[in-house]
Amino acid sequence: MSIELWIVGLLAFGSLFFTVVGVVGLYRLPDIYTRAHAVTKADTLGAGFALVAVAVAIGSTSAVLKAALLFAIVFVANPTAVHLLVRAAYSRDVSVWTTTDHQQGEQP
Amino acid sequence: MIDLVDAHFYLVFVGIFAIGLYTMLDSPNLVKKVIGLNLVQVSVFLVFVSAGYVEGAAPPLLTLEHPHANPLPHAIVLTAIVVGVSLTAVALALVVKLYHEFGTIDVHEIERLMEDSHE
Amino acid sequence: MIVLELVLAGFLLLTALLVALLRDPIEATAVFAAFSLGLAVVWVLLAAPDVALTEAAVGAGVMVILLLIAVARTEWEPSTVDRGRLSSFQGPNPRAVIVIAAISIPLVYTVTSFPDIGDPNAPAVSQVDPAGESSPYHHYIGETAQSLDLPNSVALVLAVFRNLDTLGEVVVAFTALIGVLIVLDRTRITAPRDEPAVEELDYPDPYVMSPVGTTAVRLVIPLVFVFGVYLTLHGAVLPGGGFQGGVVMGASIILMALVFGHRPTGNWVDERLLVWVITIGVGLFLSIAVGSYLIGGSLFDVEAYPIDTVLVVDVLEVAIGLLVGGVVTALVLVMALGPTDDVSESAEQRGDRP
Repeated sequence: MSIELWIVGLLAFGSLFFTVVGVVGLYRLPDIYTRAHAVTKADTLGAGFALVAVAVAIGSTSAVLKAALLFAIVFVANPTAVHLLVRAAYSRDVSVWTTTDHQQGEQP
Repeated sequence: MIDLVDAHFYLVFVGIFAIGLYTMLDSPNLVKKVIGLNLVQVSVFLVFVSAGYVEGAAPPLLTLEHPHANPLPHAIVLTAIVVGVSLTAVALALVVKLYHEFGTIDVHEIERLMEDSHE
Repeated sequence: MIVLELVLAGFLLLTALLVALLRDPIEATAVFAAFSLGLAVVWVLLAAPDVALTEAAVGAGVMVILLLIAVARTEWEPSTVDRGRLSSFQGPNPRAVIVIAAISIPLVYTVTSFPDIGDPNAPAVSQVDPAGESSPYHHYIGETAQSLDLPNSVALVLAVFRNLDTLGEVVVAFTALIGVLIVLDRTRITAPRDEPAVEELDYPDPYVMSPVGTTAVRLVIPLVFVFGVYLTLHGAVLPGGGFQGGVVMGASIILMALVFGHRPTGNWVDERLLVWVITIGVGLFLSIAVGSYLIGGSLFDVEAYPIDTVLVVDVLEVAIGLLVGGVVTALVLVMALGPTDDVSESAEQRGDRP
């Protein structure tokens, strides 16, 4: 087991961890606004870790450059897409979850 | 005994084909019928590309090592995908036009309205 | 590897099943996008990067946008009343299930009698035929590509062996655009500037551009467009080519239409430019087809030209790229405009509301 393999494994595990956190957030949180929060942060980080893992695993300069470019695009595109989604929801008056909803037991 | 693992993409083809056909038959919603049509189309691509795959094959680039996957199905599927998007666009234009005329995209509703207008 | 394949196969079947069972067409469309992305990964596993690129750009991009436009332009009221958690799914229809089973069982029987996927002796991929001679497959992938110095054999098949098929595809895409224009009763791709915007999408307020969205899109669009050009020009050497490049270039314009609104984008792109791009694409393709005949070869013989064949293939790829990019952009813009109102009807409406 070389050091490189360990680094790649750790990075892949990190990617998996944050993606799973994102999925759990998507499933557990009550409304679109909080869900967007979970998905954007966790998934961008997860994809970032995965790309760094790929760059380390392949190791060539072109692979590192491509991974960096992909990371930049994911970093811009993912939050923007979710921002537009939430913005559309807000302008269509999708209601915001509040603690009273929880007390009435309407939402899980 | 059928070798399930080696044939599994062929079996996935049957599954997607059946599901797509089911969507086209069952759903009264015209947009969903178009999605079902796309599923059927994609399942056929899966057969073509799977048939052109060789164990451990590289993409059909001569700069890579032997063996290569067969490029013929890839080329056919490429054309078919663009034809597919053209087909989808025309189908959806028809759906939008039907909605414009009848105010619904439910096939049963449209049939009823057409019968009413004949009487 | 086998685990990855099985997981992907399960993912495809699950998402397809969800598409079939979800009632709301928007939900079905979203799941269909996920299905297409999964499929793109399957193409990579099956050593078909060209198909994967096209699938990711068309299946998960353009197709989903077309479906979303259609959903936005129509209304779907689920006929059942209860809106509980499970009612967003449709129950199976027994009659349809029987029909499907009757079709699937013979299919399963047929498919399991095929040679295994990946079997090097299967007729579709075998390099040597039973008589011991080189198979057509070997001829395609080996000798011709080597003699023409055209490394990407998918481009070789598209532009050299089956270029009449590609011509047919070009004609189909062109006809589809004309068909959509006829169905929607439009004579132009973009809206005339004086046509009043119809209140088609029931937004409570007029749409205000998001500053975050416009900034991000301004950042990303040049990169996406350049990537499309790169794909088109490197089609002979690397995975990619006219189809992928054209769709990616078209997608960058569609992205603009999504964020800045389709009417301003349509006016910015300008209908005349789009028509010219499509016409030049078709014209270039056809002139290469006829040109080889005029200089003494057979029809569509790319090897008849006195210049390097790779160059001719590149020109073909550029022609396909222009056509596909133009058609895809035009399709989305026309679909977003929707059908024109009947002239008499709209005149009446204007009379009602002075």
